[in-house]
Amino acid sequence: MMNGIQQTVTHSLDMNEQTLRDYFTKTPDLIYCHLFIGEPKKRALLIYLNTLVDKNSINNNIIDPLLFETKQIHTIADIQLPIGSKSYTTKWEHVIQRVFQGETALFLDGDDHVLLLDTQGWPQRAIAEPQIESSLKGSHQGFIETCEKNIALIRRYLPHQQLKIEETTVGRRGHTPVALLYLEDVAHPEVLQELKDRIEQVDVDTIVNTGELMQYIEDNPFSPFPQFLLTERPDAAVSNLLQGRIVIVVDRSPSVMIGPMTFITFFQTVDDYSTRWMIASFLRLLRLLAFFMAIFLPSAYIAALSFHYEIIPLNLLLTVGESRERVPLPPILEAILMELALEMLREAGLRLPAPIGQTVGIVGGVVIGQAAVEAGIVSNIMVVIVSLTAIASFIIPNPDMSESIRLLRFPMMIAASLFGLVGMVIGFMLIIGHLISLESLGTPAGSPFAPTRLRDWKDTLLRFPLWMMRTRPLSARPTQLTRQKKFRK
Amino acid sequence: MKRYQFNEITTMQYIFLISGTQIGIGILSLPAQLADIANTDGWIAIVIGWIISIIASTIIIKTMEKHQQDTIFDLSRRYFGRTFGTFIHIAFVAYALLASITVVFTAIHITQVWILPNTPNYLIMMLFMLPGFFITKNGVRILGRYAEVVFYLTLWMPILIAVPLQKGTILHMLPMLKEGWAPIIQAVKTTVLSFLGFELAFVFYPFLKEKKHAVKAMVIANSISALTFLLITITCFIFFSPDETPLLIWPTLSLLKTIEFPFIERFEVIFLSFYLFVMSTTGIPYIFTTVFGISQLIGKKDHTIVLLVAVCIFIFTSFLYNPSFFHVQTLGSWWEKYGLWGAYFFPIGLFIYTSIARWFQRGKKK
Amino acid sequence: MKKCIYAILCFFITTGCGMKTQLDELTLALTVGLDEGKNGNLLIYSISPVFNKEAKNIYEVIRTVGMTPRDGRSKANAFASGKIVGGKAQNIIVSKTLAKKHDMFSYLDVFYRDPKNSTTANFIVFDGPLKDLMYVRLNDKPRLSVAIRDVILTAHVSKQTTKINMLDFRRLSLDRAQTSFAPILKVHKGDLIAGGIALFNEQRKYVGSLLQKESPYFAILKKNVKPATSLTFQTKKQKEYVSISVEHGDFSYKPSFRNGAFHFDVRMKLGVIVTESTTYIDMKKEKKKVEKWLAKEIQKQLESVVKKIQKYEVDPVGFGLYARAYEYKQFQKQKSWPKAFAKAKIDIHPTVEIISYGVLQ
Repeated sequence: MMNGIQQTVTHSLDMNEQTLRDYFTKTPDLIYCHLFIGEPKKRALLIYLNTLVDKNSINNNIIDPLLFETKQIHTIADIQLPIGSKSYTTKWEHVIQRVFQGETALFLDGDDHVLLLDTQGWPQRAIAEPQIESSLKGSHQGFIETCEKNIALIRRYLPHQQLKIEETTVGRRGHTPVALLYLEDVAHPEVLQELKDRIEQVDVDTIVNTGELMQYIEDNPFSPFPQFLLTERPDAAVSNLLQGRIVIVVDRSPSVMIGPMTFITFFQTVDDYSTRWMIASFLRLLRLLAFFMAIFLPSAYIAALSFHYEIIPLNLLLTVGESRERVPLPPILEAILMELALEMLREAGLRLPAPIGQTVGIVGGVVIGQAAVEAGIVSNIMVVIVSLTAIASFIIPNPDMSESIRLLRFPMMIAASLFGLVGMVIGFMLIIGHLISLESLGTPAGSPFAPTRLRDWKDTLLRFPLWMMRTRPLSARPTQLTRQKKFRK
Repeated sequence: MKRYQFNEITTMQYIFLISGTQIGIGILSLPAQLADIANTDGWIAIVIGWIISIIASTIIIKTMEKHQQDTIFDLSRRYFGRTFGTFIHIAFVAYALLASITVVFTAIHITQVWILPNTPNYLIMMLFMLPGFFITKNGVRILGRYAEVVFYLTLWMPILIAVPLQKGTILHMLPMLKEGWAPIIQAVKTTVLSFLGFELAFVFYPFLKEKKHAVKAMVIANSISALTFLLITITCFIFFSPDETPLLIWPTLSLLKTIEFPFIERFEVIFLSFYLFVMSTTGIPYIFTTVFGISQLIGKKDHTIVLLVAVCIFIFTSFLYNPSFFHVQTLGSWWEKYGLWGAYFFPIGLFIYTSIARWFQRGKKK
Repeated sequence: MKKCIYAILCFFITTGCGMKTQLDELTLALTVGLDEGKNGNLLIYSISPVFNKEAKNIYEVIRTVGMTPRDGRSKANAFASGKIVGGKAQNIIVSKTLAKKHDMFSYLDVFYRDPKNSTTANFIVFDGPLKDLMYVRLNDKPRLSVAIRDVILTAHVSKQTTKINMLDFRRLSLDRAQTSFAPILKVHKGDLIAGGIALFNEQRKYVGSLLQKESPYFAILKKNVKPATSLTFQTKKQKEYVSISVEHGDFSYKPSFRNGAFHFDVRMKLGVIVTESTTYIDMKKEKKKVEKWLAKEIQKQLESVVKKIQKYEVDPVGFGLYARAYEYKQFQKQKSWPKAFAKAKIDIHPTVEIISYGVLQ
């Protein structure tokens, strides 16, 4: 910092200005605004980054009152300005850091204190409905790219003194502000400390998105499964806060990170709790079925056709035989071809603007659905299976989990083509073996099934009626277990 | 001081670990063995075997209770001194090794006969060793969790086994005690051995978090196994005639061949593939015990390297040697002979010895 | 360690091929037929589906000569377009002539011993030379194997014959207390007809058969009346008919051993529906009388069926099961149960209850 020569601000305004000009070379958006304030006039210097400030606020709340100041100004503390958030410093380090964050620094000749004024204002999006996690019954507000706004969205749900916020920054160049939100009387202090230690250890240039921070601090980087939940929904964040989890808000990123998570929590949505319990339970089971279908359906097809033709009932077998008859490819190639085509279509549709995306859909649907069958490249059954798998993988509410499952499908297909059902079962065994040893912030991801916590089963495969969910899930390791009183029989 | 604090398992995990070890390859052929000796009264032998195994496992727990942080490996040295203790240590490791070899090779043999007749055995061995390695590597806690998950995942299987019941007739079971008690007592020797697996309490007991539930846990674990054995044996007896059951090698699987659903047929293929889960909960604890015992013997804390070597030896052996059905059976009978000593006579002897030893020590202090 | 995993994976992929039994390359034997040739050698037929759309026939019949089915199958591989497998077999058909001469197990062993083979295939006895069946062309039912299966199933449901799969055939044959049986199939004027029941003795040889009209009574004896067993009786004087359908029944078989022979006291309570009556019966007044008359008719028929099976020295009904369960000591003394059964005295006492007689008086 400052070449190690000057650590503190001097009394001379000229010298200070020189120091600034030496430091901020080739920074055209840094504005030096010279003013004469008070009676008698005293020299002052206002600096700010033109691109990061709210100009109205500077003109109206700083420059205007300063120009019309009639009192005598001795020290910087005499200056009264209509801005709530202000601070004084003598350190260059602070000055520069704050200026980069959009604050305005006021230097007064003959004073080595600098007044820092909160005039932040940068281009930002309006609060809108989240794109990837839309909801039917939940709130339609989504997080945006500003940390403060995001915290505000969460605080609106929890106006309670136990909601604690701890701020820190990550990254040498980016100084990304990161805020940890938790309920102090609920969240486990060990988990919190573990999380803080991990964030502290991150030593990088900057964090561009929450997903990056997630990868730096997760327990097992070699796992295909996500270990933190990323969400754009404030209600989801609050719901998890209340279960005793910790929410990490990263500035400049519209998604917040939540931990510790268990495997099953990736199959839950906030909507589950606002839907009637029978329907919510049905949806939970549907998602679980989708999970198994998305991983095992194509491989089961391959296994049955390559090894275990005898498990298919005769009538179905004759149909399959007829439809496979013209196909020159072995089942594994047929399946991989179609699954890859599907993944490409999905990826293509994702990155394209909506009107072109539709075209991709039509091309994919027609080409892959019909033409490939008619041309005799793939069989009818395969098309059915690919479509079912695609639908199943889209049902998984969490996009990270959905992607992991889509990826796992391919090794399963290879295993099935080599060893049939045995290969599939061994693959399943490996997945289970991995899941039970996986941890999220030191909490087992297999909970509440392994280790078994029967009390938590009320909110897993089935969602019990809300009045029965009197305790917070043990898998989040809450220190205060009771969530609600027994008020209904 | 708690030596294994980081690796503690819950009572539930302990139950499933023990009963998972008990239910394994034996159950596939048990009905045939029983029918051979005791006709359709064989199921009574299971009940007797259940009581005996509960007594034996209670004795094990009572022996272990006095030194709650000791596995059998520590215990043997504590009571028998360096030389003789090491001998017992090695004997127990050899027992676990024999058990794991039997389980792995039988599993491979059954897979080859029923599902993958054209796949060479070394490939199947490599395939089996993958999950074996990854789960064993992580220690007792993961073993416990794995046993738990497998228990939940396989809950549907006994229900399925009961499906052929409607095609059989209860008349096969009558009259009870048709040949008197003599053949039943003879069959008890077989059933007692099918409960083998509880002797791993010698190793897993120190890891149990709540030691006061240990005896209860052993009773529950033995009961789960006994119920499973009873269900399968009785279903086989009701379905097959008493003259046919002894002629089948794996009656349980022959039974499943008849199950057909509109969407799936030949259920034994799916059942047996899934049964690999059940077999894995038998094999993995034994492999763990072997590896854990060896690494304690050579004074290593981390058992990963020993495990890696063991897995490599397993795979290498399978390249050179493919056991015939006869060999697999011989292995099984060796295990059973050894197991009778290791799980029934040895604990009783140890219990008496330790009690006397402690009594003497107390006498000295006075 | 990661490298090690990759090495293993590569090894799997390179060696993995060649172990599969891929559907496209297989010839699925859906029906296997065994017959005796002119010189006493074994003729083996197998019917497999052909999936090629350009082919004229959607199934092919392969005929080979061999000692055992396994032997014949390896010869047939030369003819067929792919490997022949029996994992999906639907029917195993044996000609009557072969069944009369040989122990069935010596021919069927391969289907039981190889776990890949299906044990739920129907076991059928064919009346006549098998080539009549194998080369029959059915215009309305293009797949012969499926047609055979369906004919047997339909006839079984209407109790014109019975149904037995390979596993049950073995189960009954090996049980000392029972003998096995099988449905009979015929070809008449280019049509498949299933009717009657073939009876096998302890040595698994064909010894005789029950006629088609006796089949429903056999089903009643086997306690197999559901969904409905329909019976027709001629009234005494006029040429009029009464048809009933047995809806449910309560059965009790009480064995006892007296004077060196087994006695069976068979009681059954049948609930019937009158489905047809060409003559007028006043149901209100004569219900009791009709019930009695029906019971007597049924008793007559059942007794003749039992006589017949006693004559053949077989026990397909499973009287032996009761004997073993309740008279174990005496049962064990018998060297051969069917022989003892032939001497047994069987009293059948059916009672009939008319539960409904339709919408007409």
